[in-house]
Amino acid sequence: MLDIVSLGTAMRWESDAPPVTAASVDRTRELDRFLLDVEKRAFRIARIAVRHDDDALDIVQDSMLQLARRYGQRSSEEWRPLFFRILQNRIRDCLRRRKVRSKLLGWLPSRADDADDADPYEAVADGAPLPVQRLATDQAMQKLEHALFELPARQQEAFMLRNFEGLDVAETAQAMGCSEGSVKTHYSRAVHTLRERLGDSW
Amino acid sequence: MVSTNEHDGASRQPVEERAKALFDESLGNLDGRTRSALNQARHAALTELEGRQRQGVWRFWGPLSGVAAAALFVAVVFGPMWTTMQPTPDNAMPLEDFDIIADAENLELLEDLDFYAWLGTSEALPSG
Repeated sequence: MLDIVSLGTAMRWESDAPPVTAASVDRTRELDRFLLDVEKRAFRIARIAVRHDDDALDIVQDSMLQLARRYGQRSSEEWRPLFFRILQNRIRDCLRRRKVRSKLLGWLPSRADDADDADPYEAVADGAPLPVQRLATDQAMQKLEHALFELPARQQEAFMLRNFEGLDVAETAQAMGCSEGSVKTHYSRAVHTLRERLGDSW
Repeated sequence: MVSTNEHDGASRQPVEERAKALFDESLGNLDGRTRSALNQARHAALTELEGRQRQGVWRFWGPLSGVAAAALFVAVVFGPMWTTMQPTPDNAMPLEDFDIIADAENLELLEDLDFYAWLGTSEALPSG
């Protein structure tokens, strides 16, 4: 027999759940716009960190799903630092797994070695030679990626989130899970190291 | 967008500007496979969000429908059993015999049934 009091309590509690209305459709569109805005930068940031296209794609895909699953109902203003917090966590998970795998299976070629190989899709000729300027840009980007990869993890995170994604200090602190002072320190050290390795006019 | 190095209030250094410019340019050079994969990932996330929003409705109606379904199941499955669970004379076992059957010592009697069956036939046989 149904308990009417419990039923009423359940109704009151569950009434907080969002109904499928125009508001829900708007929220979906908002998330679509947000993800469309960040997806390429998120992929490039992940690619620089893990140096492997497929791993980077998996990281971005998982981060998008986690954002929708856990924070889809939050204010869209919160999404950016939350998304990049998830992204950084996934990057760390990937690197940790790779490290464990390379220790356990040291006799097999590691993924890190594969990551240093050229992207097979880049080897596919499109029939037209790359412009000289494009080649120079690509080489400069490769030098930058290598220098970023060599940075300590926290400096790398701080630099890419602040410089590439444009997060302010507070948002970066939220994404990195540290204090604003730490963000500034990590960022400053990253800039100093990059300037030393790349020079001012690379 | 950051325009100054907020750490010391100074303007951005050339390495910062150059890195940002290269990074932005690299975004336009993503291959078709990567762009397609990102597109699919985005749509998967949107599907996830829509599913969560629909679950918000079903979380209310779900318990009610679950209770109704459970009640119907009980009525359909166990309802006829209540009316048919009358032991037939052939299957009936007097309650006073349960303690005999349940007695562990009598299990040995059950194991000797073959013996007693033979005994019964041998006694029936005429002697001599």
